[in-house]
Amino acid sequence: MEHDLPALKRTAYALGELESAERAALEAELAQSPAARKEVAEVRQLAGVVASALASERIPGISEIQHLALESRIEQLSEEASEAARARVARQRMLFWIPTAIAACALLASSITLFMLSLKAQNTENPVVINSDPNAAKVEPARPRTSDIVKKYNEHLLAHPPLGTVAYFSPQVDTIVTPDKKNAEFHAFHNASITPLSSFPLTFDPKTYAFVQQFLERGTLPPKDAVYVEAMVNSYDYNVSTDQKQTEAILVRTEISDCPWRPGHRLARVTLKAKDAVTGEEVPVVADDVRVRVEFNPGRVSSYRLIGYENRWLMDGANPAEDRQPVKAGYRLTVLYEIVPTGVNARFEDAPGARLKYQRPAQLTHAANTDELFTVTLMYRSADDPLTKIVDVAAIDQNLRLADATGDFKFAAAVAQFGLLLMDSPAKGDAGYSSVRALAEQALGDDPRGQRADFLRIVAQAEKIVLN
Amino acid sequence: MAKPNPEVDAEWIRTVVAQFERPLVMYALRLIGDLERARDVVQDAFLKLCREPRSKIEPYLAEWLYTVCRNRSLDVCRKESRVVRLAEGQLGVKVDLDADPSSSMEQRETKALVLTMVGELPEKQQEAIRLKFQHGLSYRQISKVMELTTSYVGYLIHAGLKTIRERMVDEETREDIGPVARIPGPSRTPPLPPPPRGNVGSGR
Repeated sequence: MEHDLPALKRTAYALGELESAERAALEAELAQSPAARKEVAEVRQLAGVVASALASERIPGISEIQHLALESRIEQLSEEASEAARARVARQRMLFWIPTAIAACALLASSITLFMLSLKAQNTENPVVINSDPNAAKVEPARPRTSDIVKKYNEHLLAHPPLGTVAYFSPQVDTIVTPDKKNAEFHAFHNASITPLSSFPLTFDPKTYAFVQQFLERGTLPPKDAVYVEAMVNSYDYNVSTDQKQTEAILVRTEISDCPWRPGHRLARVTLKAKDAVTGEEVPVVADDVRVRVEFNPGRVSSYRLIGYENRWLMDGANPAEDRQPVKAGYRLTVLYEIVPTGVNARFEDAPGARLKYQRPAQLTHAANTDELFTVTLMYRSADDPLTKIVDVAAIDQNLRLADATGDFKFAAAVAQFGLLLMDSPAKGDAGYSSVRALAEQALGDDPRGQRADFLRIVAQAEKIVLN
Repeated sequence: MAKPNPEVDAEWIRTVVAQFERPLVMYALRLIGDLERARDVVQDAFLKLCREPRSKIEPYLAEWLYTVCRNRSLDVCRKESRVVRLAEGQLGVKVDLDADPSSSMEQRETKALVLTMVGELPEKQQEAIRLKFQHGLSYRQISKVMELTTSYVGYLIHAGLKTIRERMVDEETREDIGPVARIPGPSRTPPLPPPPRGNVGSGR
């Protein structure tokens, strides 16, 4: 390599990279040469420009799941280290106590016989805890480690991939990879004029919520991709109907009120409830080939969004069998839609048929002029009738304020809102922990199993983690 | 099973992760050209850090981390010959020229231009320039990371800066004749494309 050594030295000097002897020599040269001084000043200025240009580059760090894996490794190592330290201390203590112990042995021999006899008489269900050394390291009760939860969660995902997705194992990160829920497409609103029909799967994976709770109990927020709002909402009991004499195989109910996390939007709750089993009977299948369709009224609804089921678009048409489910006695499902009524924050492109080059504005029927926001169509075959039954239930918006909504509505909305916060959904709007708490607290009335109080405890855990 | 590391210091490791996570991903990304693999490499480096005693690593922390990431990245590139180097725009690096609200339009244009120029330097010069000016490593630390002598590192940085300066002078000359050639107007002109490689000095 050919280069101008003095110039290299001047650059190194300008960047503060010369050793003291060389530095002194170069400073002497600079004192003599204005040209050299100018060059040093130029290098420094250019270095500043290059550094500030490079400082404007931005990149994400390692992923959330990698952070978790790393954190669990750190925990595991610190536990192993303290374990080893404890063992060392114990060994030293033993060496110290051996001579004393030998002397004491003879003395103890007789008392041990007595002690054994007395033990026999004791209730053996109560273990005897002997804490001989109060200075010994305090043994903490075993609590699940983040690594164990991550491992169990990964095993679960591998065995039960989320609907319509494929989970695969990546040895590179030692973890399971599933689609990234942060994709904004998963959270998009659908224009009711262009896509008036919606549907939802009748199943959900309740285990995912158990993992969310385990992460929170461990003091970590769950990975955002591990949060399934539909599973959270449906992990709680609702008092769908107190009607004991339900004649229909499956009952559909709707309720519409304010959307707690976005002023102006409406929140619709759709519940399905299968006939309960008659006591003593085996659980019958009350209906087969159950399908649900929701048609939104573009006369009243500008756009809508199904809450939860974020990866559903992957399964659309991919596996229709998942949309046709048998339903057993006692089955219940709660589904939430966030709805943007027409005229609210209206954008020109959201108007029915507006801006379409190849279509005329949609022709609205008379029904579109009613107060119906949508119609739920339920199709199923009941066990005793081979013909498919079709049930239409129209949902009318009676402008119910949130304060006047049922406890079930408020509670489901609180759980959904909590889910949106945990997954940091782009559609979370003004969602906040205080709003989640306030809503759930208003719904504490119908809580025979203490589930809602427990929910408040879980929310408090998450809030604590977030605040720290 | 690996022996427990008696010196594992959880808090220290967390601090190191927080401080170096992004710079290391940025560095590995330039070597591998794939964000997900770069993240894997960085995670591996941190996992390796967990196994080392703090007292041994701490005095050489930065060069140790960069060296581990570099070796691991080169391994990945060797093993996966299928790794395709992505064009700059596809790397996933975002450029935030407005980070400093006090900077003028002209300063922002200069930054964009300098980034283009750095991106077009020969591989080794670019790596040394980035380690020095983006990651704040010294010649000595860079020489350890890149396994070169300090004087060669000094040469790489000097040559890289020289090329950038020459090309900036070229740009300024163009700007000087600008009023004749350019249509005056308030609209922001995009940075001019760099001149063809042939015009640039060989780095002497």
